[in-house]
Amino acid sequence: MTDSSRPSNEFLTEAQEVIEAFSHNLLELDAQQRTGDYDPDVLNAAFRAVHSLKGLAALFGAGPIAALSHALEGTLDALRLGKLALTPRALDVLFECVEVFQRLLAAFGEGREESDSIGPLLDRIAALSGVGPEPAAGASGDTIAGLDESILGVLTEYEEHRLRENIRLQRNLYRVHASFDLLAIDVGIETLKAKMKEFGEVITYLPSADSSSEDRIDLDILVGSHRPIAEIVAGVAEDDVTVHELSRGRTIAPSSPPRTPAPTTAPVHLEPEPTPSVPVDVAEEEETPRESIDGAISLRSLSQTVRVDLERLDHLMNLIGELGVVHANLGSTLDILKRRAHSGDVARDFLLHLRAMSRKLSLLQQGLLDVRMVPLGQVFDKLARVVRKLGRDADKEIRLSISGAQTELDKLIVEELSDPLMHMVRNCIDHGIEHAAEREAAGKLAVGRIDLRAFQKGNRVVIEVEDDGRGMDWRGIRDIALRRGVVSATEAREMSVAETLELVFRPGFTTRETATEISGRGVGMDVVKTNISRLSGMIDVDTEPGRGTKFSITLPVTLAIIQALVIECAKQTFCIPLNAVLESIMVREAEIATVEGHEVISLRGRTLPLVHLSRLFELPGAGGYVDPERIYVVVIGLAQHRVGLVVDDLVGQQDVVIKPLGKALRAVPGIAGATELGANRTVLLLDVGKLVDEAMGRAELSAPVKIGRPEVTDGP
Amino acid sequence: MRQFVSSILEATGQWSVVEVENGFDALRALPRRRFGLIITDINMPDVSGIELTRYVRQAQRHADTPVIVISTDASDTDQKRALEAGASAFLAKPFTGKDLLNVIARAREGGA
Repeated sequence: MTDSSRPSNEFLTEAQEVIEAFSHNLLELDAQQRTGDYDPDVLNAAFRAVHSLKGLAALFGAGPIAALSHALEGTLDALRLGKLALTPRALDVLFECVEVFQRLLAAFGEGREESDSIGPLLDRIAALSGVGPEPAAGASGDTIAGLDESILGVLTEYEEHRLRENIRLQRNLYRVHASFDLLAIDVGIETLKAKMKEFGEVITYLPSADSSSEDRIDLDILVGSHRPIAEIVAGVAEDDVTVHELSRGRTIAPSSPPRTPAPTTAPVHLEPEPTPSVPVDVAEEEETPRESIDGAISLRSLSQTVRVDLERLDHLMNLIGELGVVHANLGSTLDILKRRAHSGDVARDFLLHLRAMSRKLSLLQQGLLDVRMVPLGQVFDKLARVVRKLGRDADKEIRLSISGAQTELDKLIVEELSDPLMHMVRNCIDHGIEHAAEREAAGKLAVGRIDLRAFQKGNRVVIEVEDDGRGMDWRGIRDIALRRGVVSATEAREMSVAETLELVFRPGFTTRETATEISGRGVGMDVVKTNISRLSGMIDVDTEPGRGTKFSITLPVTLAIIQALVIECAKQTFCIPLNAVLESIMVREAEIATVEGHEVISLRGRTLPLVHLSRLFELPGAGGYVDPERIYVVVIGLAQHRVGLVVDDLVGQQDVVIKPLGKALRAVPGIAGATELGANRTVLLLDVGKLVDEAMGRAELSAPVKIGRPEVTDGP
Repeated sequence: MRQFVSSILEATGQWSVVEVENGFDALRALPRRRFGLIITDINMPDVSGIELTRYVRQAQRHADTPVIVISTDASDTDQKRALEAGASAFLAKPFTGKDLLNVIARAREGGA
């Protein structure tokens, strides 16, 4: 990253965040609008987001973004002022703007001019303003009863509009007077604000300078509410607050002693009178505040966050990994030391320090991993937009319900997930969910449903995409797989339903044509599966014809550092992700049976297929056992599949930092990455998903259900 | 935007700048010291630029401090009210560094 690209990177991140916030606001409005009533605060937040974006874009010379946000700002202003109605059509245009903003931003980031002109979109935005302005709050012009001219005079146009709206909705108007200790004002305000929101709408805050003390600020809060004054007084009774009902000018003091003087905690008076100094106060909430120059404590900002480039975190992660190697090397040194004469005391000390180091190292590691975590909500918001748009394009009404948006995953994984998830959701809409008529004929609700769920399960995260559409027809899938030569006739005959469904993940199975033919799904699902496996994840599918389909993705929480089981096989060392290891067992050669040419053992009544690593990777000396009485088998499993890996020796457990493979190894199936162990050895990390597939592909032994012969044609 | 304004001011070498993030933070900053100039956006959540201006004008300490209100040219009403509340000048976005310095010069002449 060169220095000259810095400002633009800063712009990109910030603009991206603003656009995401805007999109989030729109989704909220979209949901609220369906119920008929929306929160004016959300609309105002959307307005402010675009306002910020416009400022940003103009500053960084992103012309088209500035132009679009300029046009959009005007429309949003009209919307929030009630001059325009928030119709589904208006929302469509707003959502379109989110997409275009993102394209423009990407183009700007790559230093190219976005080719498609924003002209047509600008026209559509302009057209919105032409369409039947909602009869604005009828009250305009008449006096606002009981309102002090001095209050009215400082309202912004928007605040005045909200005031009139509140009057139109026949709410009572209250002036809530509160006095805050300067140092605690943020907390005080937030608490009071939250309470007031329960009663109705906070129209504005009016600070007044006539407070008794220099350390306090008095605020008048203008609130519109249907509730009677007694309720509001009761609601804020414990605070340093008085409530006035504006229409009657009555004041009711709370029962608790009002206006307790500020607890005189030694006021820090910094009065060096730095002339001239300036509070520059341009409200872009999202901006990270710069440090105030004279370090006055009262100026510390509420938001205590910094933004960090992911590359820098990766760098730190690598350093931690290297520290781990140093740690392991120290361990070896200790072993050597122990063998020296008279080293007892020193060795003991050494060991003590080494243990302390190891503990701190793992704390450091965990800390850094936590920093990389981001909530999945970011991706889910994107998906919600896609559902909305595609649903309209396909003329299907779809309700998306999201749960677990706060579930956190490594930033890298979240980024990589967005394409596969997008693809799956698209499939749900294109192929899964039927048109309203078809749904009603099948006795379902006309509105289709997609559930997006995320939750933590042990040290993994599960994401489910479920629709209530027509489901997948396994017979159709099997026939197509047969026709395309993905499976042989014999294979097809012996496959279980579950195995047949798995075929949609096979490369070569899917094309657009077949997907519609079987009214099925799985367009490009092989790509989805590849993407997910690259993240060390697994994908499963479950479907019920006529009822819907559920895809479940199981992912590790992070990719950067994992706990691994270190094993040896044919004098080579490998790592297996520990979260995929179920157990390690020891068997005798005599316990190994051969079924249909595959080696298996019986583990607690279940047949466990065996895979010889040495044979799989064609390592020298493959075949024989080091000791036929002591054969180590590592049982690995993902989802419901289990496989036994035959290895020569178990070395131990270790945290390893995963490094990407060079080009030469990337194409080797079964290897997921490389890592370094002590003594500067590079070791390969096994790709458990692939190994399990490999074993399952060879030996379908534990398959519980067998499909009937192809000519059986029962059911639809 | 805020960074833009403060970088221009700092570049002149005449100002040391205190940045705050929103209206409430500004309220917290104001009683503690004297300022040579206050610049605020009109559109802030909670406490707007107009309300902030009124507050500044009420406060003894800041009664003579020039206040510049920045906004888009969206609303005449807002602009009028900001000036009525006691703002020394109004600056419409987008503006250049030169525009800003010109407005500051004018505001200081008129105000002080």
